[in-house]
Amino acid sequence: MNDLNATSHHEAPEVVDHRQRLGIWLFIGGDVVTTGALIFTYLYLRAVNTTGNWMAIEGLPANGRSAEEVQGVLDAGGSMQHIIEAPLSASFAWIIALVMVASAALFWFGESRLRANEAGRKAFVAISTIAGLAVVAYIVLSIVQLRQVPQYWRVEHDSSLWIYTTYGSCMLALGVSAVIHGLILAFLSFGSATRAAVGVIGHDRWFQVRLVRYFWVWVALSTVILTFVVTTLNAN
Amino acid sequence: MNSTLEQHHVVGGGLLRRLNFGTAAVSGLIFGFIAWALSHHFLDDSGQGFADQVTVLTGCGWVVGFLLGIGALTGPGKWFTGRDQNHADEMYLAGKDLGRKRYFQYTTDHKVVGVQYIIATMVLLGAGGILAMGIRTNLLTPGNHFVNQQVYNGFLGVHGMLMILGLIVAVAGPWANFILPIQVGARDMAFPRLNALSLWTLIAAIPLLLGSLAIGAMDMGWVTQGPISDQSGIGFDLFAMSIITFTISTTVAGVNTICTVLTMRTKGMTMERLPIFAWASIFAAGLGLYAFPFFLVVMSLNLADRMVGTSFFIASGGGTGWLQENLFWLMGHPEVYVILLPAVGAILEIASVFSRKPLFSYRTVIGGMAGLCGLSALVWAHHMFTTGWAPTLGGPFMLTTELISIPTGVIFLVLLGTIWRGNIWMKMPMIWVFGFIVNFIVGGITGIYLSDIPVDNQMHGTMFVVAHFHYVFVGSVLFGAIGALFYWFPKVSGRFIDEKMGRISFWLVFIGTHVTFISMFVSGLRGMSRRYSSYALIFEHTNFITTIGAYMIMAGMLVLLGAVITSWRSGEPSGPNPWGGKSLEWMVPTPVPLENFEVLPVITSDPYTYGEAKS
Ligand code: HEM
Ligand SMILES: [Cu+2]
Repeated sequence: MNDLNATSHHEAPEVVDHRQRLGIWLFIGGDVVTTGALIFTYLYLRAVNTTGNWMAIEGLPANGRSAEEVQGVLDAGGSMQHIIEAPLSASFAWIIALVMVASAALFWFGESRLRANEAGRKAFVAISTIAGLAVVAYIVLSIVQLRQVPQYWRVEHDSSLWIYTTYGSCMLALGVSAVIHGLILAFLSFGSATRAAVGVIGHDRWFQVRLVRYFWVWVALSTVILTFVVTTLNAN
Repeated sequence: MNSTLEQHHVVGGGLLRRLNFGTAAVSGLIFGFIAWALSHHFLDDSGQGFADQVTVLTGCGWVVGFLLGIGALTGPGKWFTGRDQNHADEMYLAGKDLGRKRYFQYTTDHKVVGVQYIIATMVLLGAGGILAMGIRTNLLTPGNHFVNQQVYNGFLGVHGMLMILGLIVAVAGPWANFILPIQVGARDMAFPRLNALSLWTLIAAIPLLLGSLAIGAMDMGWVTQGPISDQSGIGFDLFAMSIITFTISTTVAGVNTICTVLTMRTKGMTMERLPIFAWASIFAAGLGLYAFPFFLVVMSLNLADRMVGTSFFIASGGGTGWLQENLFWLMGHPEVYVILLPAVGAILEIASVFSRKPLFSYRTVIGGMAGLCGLSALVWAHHMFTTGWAPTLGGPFMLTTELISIPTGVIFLVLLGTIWRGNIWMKMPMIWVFGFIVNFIVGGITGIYLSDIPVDNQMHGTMFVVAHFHYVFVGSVLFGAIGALFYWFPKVSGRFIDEKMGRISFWLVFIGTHVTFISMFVSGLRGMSRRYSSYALIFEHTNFITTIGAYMIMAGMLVLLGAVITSWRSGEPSGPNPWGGKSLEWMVPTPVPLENFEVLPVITSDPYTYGEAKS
């Protein structure tokens, strides 16, 4: 169905690619603002440190405890304490960032193999799959980190609440954002791999792979920036 | 091409080819119900935030189910498995030979999407209008209890947001889809499937917004004032879900618009030859790409506070309501220009055609729009002058806000310069332009009053502010949108909107606008607070007048609705170029064929060659 008559919708791949490249840059632009808004939130809350609660709180440590368990502690005479939090492990955060950067580099390498020669397609299928698995690891590690965010149980008037410090709140939001970005990248990498496997992506058809790489590199970059911010500007 | 093969593709295809609005709604409800049931089953129902968690997950279920049921996720699924669509699939998706059915489906043809946006706009503005009537009826007399106070609050917030969404899409939705690709000489939008996606995510968002009214208690107005938004009832959860869904819609639409104008132009269509509406559209889209991520973030953080106990906006937990307001207005002020710019683009287009004069100083107006966009990101705190946030920044924000009236004024002068000594043809589109000119002056000037901090200290939180932004939203944007509707309707339907009914509706809406909002200025100047469901006796007369004016606007809009419906079916035929326009949309036949152009045109001049040597 390769008719190139005047009314056909089909255009040269380069033309389509040019358009899609602009599209992906614009989407990345939107994501830059989203990430910027999260960084703004983080820095703002740290700067104002309302009522000294950036990393301090009145409550019962409650990570990994169910509501009943906390209630049990309370019933046994436990009461709220004034707690000063320690920041989450910086080395763990950098390990997560490293996994993301490595996955991006891997995918980029896969792209260069794909573009190099005919044989590159098979290599790309494998590399893209491995990069995707690295992203899965990134997601898992991010969830592990999310579960370390200190959570407290606070009794206020008649009701008791789960609560986070503002530092904890920010780490939670950034963690969720990381997981969402990871899921998108996993979809894109495994999709690219299947597409290369069935031959829709190939040595002479690699434009989409470059689009994915643009986004991937941006996510890696933003992970590094965010990790830098949260590991250096965190103390009370 | 093997035509039997193609036939086979088009007729066969099973379930995926049967998807439409009905299947989407059913699937959305089913998924919403499943999400509701699962969250009841698995979540801790004694935990705090349980009701919010259930509501948000139900909302998510609705959105996913709806998109699945309309077929929006089919494309990504096919991409993932490497089964790309063939030409026959694309033609089917574009609605080829599907007749009316295509208006209820995930159709990619930009003209179908444009018409779907017209309907969506009417639904949004209609629902918002009904709520406005409820609000104004409640305020008809002091202490009138037409609705109770909780319901009143809900009306106010949802009215505001319905109208904001309605106006964001009122011009950009129908016309940046239907007209813009033709104007630049393209066969469709840059990304047709994303185009359908933006439309159907918008449709998915509307029931969430209306649903938030039904489940009650959204009591902080459309500005989602923190920290009240952390405390109000579960209606806010659906409200926030609706906004989050909408930000996806508008981001996708914005990317599409920009890519269409920048990469789909036909030969000879240089940037200096673009119709001004195309420029206005890309400025608005670009500004939207900047603004809406803030909305996404602030609504998400609000939901986190409510659902899992984070303390972003809760002072006792270390957060601050000022953060919520900052994030909201970082979005909120640019957003008003996202709303305004497409309407201004359409107005300038109409002004040139109906004055039979080239646009006065094309480059200046582009500069004005660019200045507007740049400055609009730097003025957000003028909504926070009285909150106590960063008093030292008051001066700078006052300055930037006053500066923004310069590019605004420039655009206004270009409009006047275009009309000046023109050969004015007083048809319906132009009549709305004159309405715009009158109203926008009032809206703009009162904005400058408000940017002055000592004045704002008196006026903030009063009906004066409400009247200010209604002069710009109703008096200017809505007038521009209706003008655009009269102008481009013949291209959509091949018929004129009835002139007589059009004039009746114009005078009702025009006079109604002034009756409503001048009296509202007076209420505000006398000190009447906004957002209250009843008021002191001294505001009795002005409020009575305001309500009468509001009814007039509603009457005018109903006449307009009647005119549109009857004219769509049996209006006077218009032919392909009823107004003698020179931009490309007037050069193609009406109805516009599926891919717009038989042969792509080559452009040799700008579209405003009136009064110059005949070419
Ligand atoms: C010369 C141009 C303008 C200036 C200087 C200006 C200035 C202002 C100021 C200072 C406020 C804050 C008032 C307060 O809350 O105390 C305000 C409110 C507002 N303005 Fe304008 N404005 C201008 C044009 C516009 C336009 C074109 C639009 C819409 C298209 C608009 C929409 C709004 C809205 C929606 C609000 C109030 C939001 C709310 O609190 O609910 N303004 N304006
Ligand atoms: Cu503003």
